[in-house]
Amino acid sequence: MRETWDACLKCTLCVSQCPVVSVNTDFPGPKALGPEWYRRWQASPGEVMNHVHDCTFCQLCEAACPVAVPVAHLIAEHKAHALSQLGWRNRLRDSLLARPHRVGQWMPVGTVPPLVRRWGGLSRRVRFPSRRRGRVAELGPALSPPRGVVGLVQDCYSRAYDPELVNMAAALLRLWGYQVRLLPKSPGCCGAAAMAQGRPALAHRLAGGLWAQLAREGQGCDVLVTLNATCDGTVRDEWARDGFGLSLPVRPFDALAMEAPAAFWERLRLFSMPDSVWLTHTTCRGKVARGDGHLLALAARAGFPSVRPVDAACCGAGGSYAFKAEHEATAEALAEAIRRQVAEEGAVAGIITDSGTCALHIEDATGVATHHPAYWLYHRYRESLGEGPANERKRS
Amino acid sequence: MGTLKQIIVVGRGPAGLYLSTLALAQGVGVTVIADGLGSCALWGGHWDFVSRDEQGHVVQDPWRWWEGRPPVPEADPVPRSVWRAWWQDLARFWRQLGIVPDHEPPRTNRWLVTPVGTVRPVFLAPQWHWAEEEPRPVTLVGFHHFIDFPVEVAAQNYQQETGCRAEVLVLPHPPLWTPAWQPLQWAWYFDTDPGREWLKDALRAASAPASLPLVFPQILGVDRVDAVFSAIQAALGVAVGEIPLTPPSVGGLRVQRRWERWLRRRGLRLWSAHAVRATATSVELEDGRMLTADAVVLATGGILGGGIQVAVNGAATDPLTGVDLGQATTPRDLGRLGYPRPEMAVPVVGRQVGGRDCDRQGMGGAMILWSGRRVWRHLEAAVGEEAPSRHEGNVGRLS
Repeated sequence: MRETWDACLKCTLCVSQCPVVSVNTDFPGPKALGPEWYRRWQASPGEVMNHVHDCTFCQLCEAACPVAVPVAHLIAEHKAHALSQLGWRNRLRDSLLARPHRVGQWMPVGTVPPLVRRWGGLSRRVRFPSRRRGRVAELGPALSPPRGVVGLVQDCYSRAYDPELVNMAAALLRLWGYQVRLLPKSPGCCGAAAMAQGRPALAHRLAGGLWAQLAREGQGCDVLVTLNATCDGTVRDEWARDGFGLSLPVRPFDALAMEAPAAFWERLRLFSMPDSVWLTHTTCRGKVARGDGHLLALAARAGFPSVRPVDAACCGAGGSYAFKAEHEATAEALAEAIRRQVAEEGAVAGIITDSGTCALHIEDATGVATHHPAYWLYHRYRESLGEGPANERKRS
Repeated sequence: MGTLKQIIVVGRGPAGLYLSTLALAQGVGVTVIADGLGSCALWGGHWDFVSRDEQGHVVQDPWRWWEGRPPVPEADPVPRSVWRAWWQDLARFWRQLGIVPDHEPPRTNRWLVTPVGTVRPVFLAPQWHWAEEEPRPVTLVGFHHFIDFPVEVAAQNYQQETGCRAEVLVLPHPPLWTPAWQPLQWAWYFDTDPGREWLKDALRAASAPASLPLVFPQILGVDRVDAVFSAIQAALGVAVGEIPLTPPSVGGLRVQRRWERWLRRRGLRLWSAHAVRATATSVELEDGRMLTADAVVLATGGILGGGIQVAVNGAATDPLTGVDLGQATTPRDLGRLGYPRPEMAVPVVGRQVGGRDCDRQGMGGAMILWSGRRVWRHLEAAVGEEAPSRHEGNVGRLS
């Protein structure tokens, strides 16, 4: 990647796609914080810029670059040199958030007292995740002859706060004819969160650790399936560039879902849903690594009526970005576009997105139930079996 | 029974969006593969028919100029009625998106003001562009510290070139402004309610010359530009227009956002990936994945979209097909390079088709229309009655 670090043409297309620039008038934008800073740093190391930590590391800037400058990664390097701007409390906070697998292990979260929020530099208004662990029923015998072994990769968030979702996805995969193995056995992180906190070296170390785990534990699997869009983009797209290539194909859950047996779709379509609007939100990292429209295609095939894409490029969650006190206003301003769209669309029955933190943030902003496609498919199938209302959500 | 149900379009610039629109409108599923943003934001948003002849003289009546002239040497000339139908169709579609004010294409080229105050011919222009049949007296509006539009210089040039009066109005910068602001940041600011209110107040305080149209640099919002225009018109009772600036163009960005929104709502799937090989029915991606469909169309020959690879000796190649595109000795040559149509197995659309110098002659829009229509006519023959529903989305599959 390094050969393109200094290739910026100054076309500014990166700025045109930056969600933070669109709502934060103080933010200098990806061109100034990434390639322009890097050139100055090369000439004279030492200078860092204000507001560099306001970048969400969504990577939309990188995806827009016509000459493949790793703009967001340059900003991550910039952040690494500017950690002192944060103050010791926020550094400690970010050091934890850079290890979400450990946060998930050690902190059940849920209710966070105001004093802890204030002391820890956490947003006073945002909702923190609570653990969902309702019982998930199997969906019946497989609808297809055996299709192989899936290594279902549990991301930090789902593993810690939404094991119910992992079980739903596993139940669906078994219904479609796959054997399912949950990976990794012990918590590990792909490194995306560390990169977003401006800790590229840690990100590399964490990625190497999880890569070794998946390579070892994935033996015997035919494919690795991801549930979270950010992990998917990191594991499938970035790891290969960073020397952590996997011998197994890595595919997002919705791609496998599109290949579900015909009997599955026929069953879903036997029961029409009440007329209502459904929205699909492709996360920033999903857009970068895969593109757009995949969730919408899945929802349409599953018979969700009036499915429309969320127009906003970014919901503002940005992984742990919205949990930080200093990002409260930016995160809320970004969510405003989705709130406005929900109001304009009328009765929105649900929102489909493949990221736990995006779901949390969007649900808070709009009041509309927002879940992973596996959650919605699972419930829809249960209803088609006449077994609804399916699995009520339980919070610990 | 129709055989064309799914197509892949490689490229996300105007040609890719146009071909995708033609297909989706007929119920054919579309997957766009793009390695970046596409070239839309590098262009102001207007589509040229033909602006200058081969000698560089301004063409006032592009309809007449195209009479008897084939878009590329091996093709037949396009009858005026056919050009008209194509432009009308595009204008009608853009009107749906709120991009142009009228569903009728212009009768002649109009005059668009440039950031330095000169004028250039333009054909189908978004409603925000200040494009007039005849230049007329205006008030050019600048802002303190806004260096992308040197308003005093622009006014001098405008008066000199058109003979029309150009008043100058310089507004202060908003309270939130910082020296790092680029045109996009101004535009995002005017998208907000406080930004719009600040602009109205600043205009009232500055007492603009009554009755003259107010012509701004193109920064009056991104997604909510129409509300900004309405607010100014309601407050001051004068016509308002904008001058497109250098790339990235806020106008092109507005067009792209509205157009892609329409396409995505109709089930377009966008693959963010780098294509390395294409056949008539498949595209191989850089990571080894293969995407298949009933047809593949290349729309990769835009300005920067990776469509043309120029070696140090000037040899130009389409990296996707390996086709030799000729020799480029200066950047301008890129506009003359073209694909050796029509024998190629994979149809190609875009302004680069056929070797015309679209930059010099201002005919990129016409070439996109012609190449898109030609390819679509060929593909359309295979569209049957059983085309998939618009939201089916089962476009392409991985193998």
